[in-house]
Amino acid sequence: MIRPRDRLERTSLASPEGESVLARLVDEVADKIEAGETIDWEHYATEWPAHVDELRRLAPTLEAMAELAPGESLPPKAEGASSARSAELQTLGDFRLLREAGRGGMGIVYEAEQISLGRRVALKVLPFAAMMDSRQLQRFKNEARTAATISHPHVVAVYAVGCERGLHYFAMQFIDGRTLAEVIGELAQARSQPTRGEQAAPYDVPQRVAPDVDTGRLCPLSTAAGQGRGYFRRVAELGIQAARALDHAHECGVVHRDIKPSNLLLDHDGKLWVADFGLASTTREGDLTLTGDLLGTLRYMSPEQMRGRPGAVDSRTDIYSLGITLYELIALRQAFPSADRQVLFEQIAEIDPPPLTRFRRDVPTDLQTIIGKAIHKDAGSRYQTAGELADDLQRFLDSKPVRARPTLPHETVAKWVRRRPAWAALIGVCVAACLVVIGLLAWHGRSLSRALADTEQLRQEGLQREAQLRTQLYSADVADAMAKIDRNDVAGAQAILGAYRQPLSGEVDPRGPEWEYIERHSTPAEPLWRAKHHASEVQAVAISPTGRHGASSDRLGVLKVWDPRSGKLLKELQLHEGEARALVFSPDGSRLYSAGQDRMIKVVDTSTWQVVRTRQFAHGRTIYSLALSEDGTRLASAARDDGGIRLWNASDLSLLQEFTPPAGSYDVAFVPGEKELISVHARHILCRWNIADGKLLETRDFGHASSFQEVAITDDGLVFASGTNSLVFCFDLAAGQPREPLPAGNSIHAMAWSSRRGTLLLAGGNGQLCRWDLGAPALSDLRMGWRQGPRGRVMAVAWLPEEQSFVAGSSDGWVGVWETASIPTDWRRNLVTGRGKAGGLAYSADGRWLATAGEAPVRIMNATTGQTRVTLSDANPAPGPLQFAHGDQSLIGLIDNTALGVWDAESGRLLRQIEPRAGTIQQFQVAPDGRTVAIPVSASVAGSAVVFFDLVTGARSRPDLPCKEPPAQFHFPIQTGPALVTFHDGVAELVDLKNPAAARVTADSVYQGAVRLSPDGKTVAFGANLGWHVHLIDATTGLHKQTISLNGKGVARDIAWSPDGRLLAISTTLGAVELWHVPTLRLLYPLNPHLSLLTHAHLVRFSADGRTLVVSQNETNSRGETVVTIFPLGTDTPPSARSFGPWRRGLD
Amino acid sequence: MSDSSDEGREALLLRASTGDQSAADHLLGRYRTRLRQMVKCRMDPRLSPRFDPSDVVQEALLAAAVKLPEYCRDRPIGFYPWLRRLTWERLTDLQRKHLKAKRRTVVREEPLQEELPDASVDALAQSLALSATGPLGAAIREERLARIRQALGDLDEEQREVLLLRYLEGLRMNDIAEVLETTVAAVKMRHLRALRRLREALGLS
Repeated sequence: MIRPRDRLERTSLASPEGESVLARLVDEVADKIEAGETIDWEHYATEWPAHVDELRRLAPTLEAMAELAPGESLPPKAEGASSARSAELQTLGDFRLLREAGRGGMGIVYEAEQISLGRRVALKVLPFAAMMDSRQLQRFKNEARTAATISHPHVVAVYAVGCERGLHYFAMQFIDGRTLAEVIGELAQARSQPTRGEQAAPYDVPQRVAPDVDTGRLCPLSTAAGQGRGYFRRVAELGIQAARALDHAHECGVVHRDIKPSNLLLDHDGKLWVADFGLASTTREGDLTLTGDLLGTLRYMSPEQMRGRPGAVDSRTDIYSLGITLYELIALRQAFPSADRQVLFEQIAEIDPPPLTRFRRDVPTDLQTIIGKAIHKDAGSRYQTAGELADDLQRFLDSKPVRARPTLPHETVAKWVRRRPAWAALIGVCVAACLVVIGLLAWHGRSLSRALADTEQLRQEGLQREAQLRTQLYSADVADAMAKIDRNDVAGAQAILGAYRQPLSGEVDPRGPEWEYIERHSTPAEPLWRAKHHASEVQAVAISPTGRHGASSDRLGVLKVWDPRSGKLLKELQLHEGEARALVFSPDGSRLYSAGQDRMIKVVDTSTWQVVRTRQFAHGRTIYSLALSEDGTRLASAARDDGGIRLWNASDLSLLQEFTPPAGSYDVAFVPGEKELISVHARHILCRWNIADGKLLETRDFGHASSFQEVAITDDGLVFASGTNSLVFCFDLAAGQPREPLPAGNSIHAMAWSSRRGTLLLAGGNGQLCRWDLGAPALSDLRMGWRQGPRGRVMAVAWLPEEQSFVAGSSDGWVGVWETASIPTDWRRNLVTGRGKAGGLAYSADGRWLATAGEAPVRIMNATTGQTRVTLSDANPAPGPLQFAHGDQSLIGLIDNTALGVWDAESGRLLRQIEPRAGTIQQFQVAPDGRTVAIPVSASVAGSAVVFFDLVTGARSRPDLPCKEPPAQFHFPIQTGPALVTFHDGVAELVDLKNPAAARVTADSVYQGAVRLSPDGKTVAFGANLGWHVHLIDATTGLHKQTISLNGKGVARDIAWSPDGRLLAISTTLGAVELWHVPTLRLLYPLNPHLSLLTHAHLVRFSADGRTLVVSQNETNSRGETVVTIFPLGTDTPPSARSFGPWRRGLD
Repeated sequence: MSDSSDEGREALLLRASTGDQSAADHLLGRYRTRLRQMVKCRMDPRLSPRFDPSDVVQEALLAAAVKLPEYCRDRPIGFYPWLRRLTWERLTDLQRKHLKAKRRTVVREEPLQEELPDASVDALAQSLALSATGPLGAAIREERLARIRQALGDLDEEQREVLLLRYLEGLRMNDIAEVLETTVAAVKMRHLRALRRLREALGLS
């Protein structure tokens, strides 16, 4: 805290006596006083005679201030504690974590084993509890303990609450089943696509719509997406079970406060369980900013809970939330689907969800009435106890008269007037106006036309308001649908989007290219076949090299053998006890090797399907990986717990070699040439071994706390390693060098390399799968049609021998085969446009051509194929702005800072060189006529000015526009008609070219470069320099209209308006590209242009039809290349045609 | 405030940026106290019966946890100023929503002091007046409180902000400079001037 003496002395020499020196001294003295040191006034008297008196006079004030000083921030925890924690996370107290079962709300749920009792439990870990203060923590513990006392056949029992190494957890009874949220999702999907499933699964899968539901023996629930009266009875039964459980809890004095479909579990016997009692206290029920997962909770909150008045929340809140859940079970869509927090608040507070008959005409009136009463906005009008609700549901089942009464028409009106006073007043006015009309008719006929006009005006206002609300709803739905797609909840997205597919006549269709983009994302590819072969998570898949057999093994040690072409089940074997994580066929396909948690390696003869040999792994617990040498003579195995790697004789399983790595081993592979092995380990360590003597040749520590779990090697010795980290690491064995890692977005569960295709397939990442084509600038995300709920993650992948298709196994027991070419990617395409940093990005109006100004030579390339159209000759554009002009016939760029070049876009020849006048040029802008170019010239002698040239004739086309000093920083973002927005020195100005003297200062604090005029010329969007906002100002008046909050995504780097002005694309300094809906100022969704760790989005441009968005990166990739990402928003080219571009073979 | 914590911070940031949840928890947890102090002294008194500063901080830290990888990629500003900004945004959101503050029509970006100089002046004045064991003695507390409030109210917003950041939030001068988007030298100058004004008002010479 104390400045070193020498530094002070230097300042004493460097700076004159004065205020600034005194200011530094005061700061120094303040530091000392705060630190409790005595001030050596003699020292100051000697060194700073001119200041010592003033310092002494200020000392008492400083002392007074120092008394206020807050406590020191928390002492830093011991270094390394965190990494140790991650490594030790395999066990937590008495619990061994088996796998992650889900995430939500405040915690992560693991399937775990209670070691002392040997039972399976669900362990909910609350990582954020580490950040709770003691009061919150105490409240959490109290509630958890109370919850633990509830014992009821429909309440998930809480076994233990504890804290281990700073992690708070909750051990609960393990229920093997699914949540009602998943059930609703599946049923909704089955309903929205009633036939495609059967076509896609012609074989082996029974002809039914929601097969998984049936295997769960929930028969009544699954009858064809909930058709018939049986379905409603089943819903009522579930309601009764939940209500009885709640009633019991309420009698024990516990309010759940977070009842929602994802907290209600359905086991395989069709029994319902209420989970997570006592956890709601960890999330605030107040109306603070809730984001992400918490929104899921918000959706089911009662109006009183949402308003955050603690006293008002009682057991009737649970009744409401259960009512909403039952509503959704029938409607198969959310009661309040908005993704926008504010809209959601309003809906919950004011609007009744649509009547259930809208979704199900056959819903029994009594059941609808019961649900209506349970979800009444006013707690006093609901059932007063959960028992009453259960009783009424029982009456419905028994066909007795229910107690609940339907809402009467006049009550509806009264409710409506209460909630919508403005509308009610409007209608009141209308009625009054009609009365006036009648009165006037009687009195004087001439006033009639005017009265009618007034009435018409009111009607128009009403309609306008309605249209606005509809637009609001649209943008909220688009945002919500994308959020669902990101969670792999395709069914949920489809349900939302379905409402827009056929716009009602007379209504304005609110959709644009952004809708097509998510519509495409919500239609994943169907597999060649798929079948639910397993009752538990698929952990390994393998295809015999002959292509005759496919095999998959699961968490319960079951091996299934099937025909890779049809999916037909050929054989089933119980091979292991517990997990079976490793499967490999011998090269001739005659043998299958399998290993797992029981430490057994088993060899199966594929003609008889008998186990012909068994070998126990010496130590350790679970074998995670097996690898066979190319000739099939040697087998390598890797085990996690003792970290060992063994090499076996593949025919008799005799031990050949042992390897001892520094950490738990997850995967092993033979290096081509087969003299070496590569293995990957916990804590991101990669090892290279000499097979002959077992010596460790090399260890590479990639320095991360998480684990490498997968490794793949190409024929050229390129090693890919991935795991729980969201990166794919790449290591070049030949060069001995790591390459730039690829960001995948999420954990990778499995990898498969295809030598023939040069494609790495990865399970996990941002999609369900992602792929990387060797040499491509980034991973692409793939979306597949599991047509399952959000849980169906891909856990294992393998290529079929011809490498045109692959098999994938999912966490919920499905196996399927997809053709690679049929899987839609995220349609994002990356093009290498040149070398060096892209100073400018030109995108032709017809969307066909693209060029970036980087290092020479600069090429114009086809924006779809990436093929070079022409390389610019005669001169090269400097790395600065670049623009197509004159109907895309020419390309304009800076040759240097004195001249502008005009190149022919077809021949690449330099047509013309424009040297405006003495001075320097940094910017230019082509007017919308395509011919006029505005060039700001900075000159100290002649004076700065904007000059205008005709690109075709090369002559001046307008008088110069003199401008202020200093003109060094000029930006001419865009202009339409006669207006021009200029930017200099932090101020944006609107200049009317017809009357340049009348320049209007429109806004200050502009972030350099991000100023854009809307296509209609009415609005200017600019990024604020301070704060993370984009402001919209009226271009004619200069008045502030609206503000977009980038919400922590950084400062706006570039902004693009879509040509119709409906959309804004904003790139930010934190690398995000966001698509905003202008009429409602809502974020629709972010686009992900993230290519590498080093670069992020920079310039954004819309094509002239607004259907494509291109994004350039702020830096080159690691190979020095300029990369541009293209997002086709609208659908004009079949997606499959785009799946493989010529950039695939990047190494050629 | 000590530099030693910065070393650990870098290591934790690195790990947190790769998705290590426990590192992120550690890292964010460290700043809890400071952020709470910030919220406490800046929260509108009308809100304090309804909201606990810890809750605001909690929300901000949750948001920070989500945004951490992004932050690590670019590091546009220092880590604490970044956290502080997130917290500030939460707080102003809350206040805007609940106090129905007038919508601003002027296009002007201010990193600080959007709505609430009064609350912070009060907080600072009260803590100064109540530091009864200090050199001033407890006897004239009431009178002093009025005087301090007056003095702080008379300070330029810029000067008052420096005092708040330094003495209530405990920021270091270079962090203050980042928060206020100015130079360290300018901050020190404002500090000096603010102290002088305060000295006069408090009659401490």
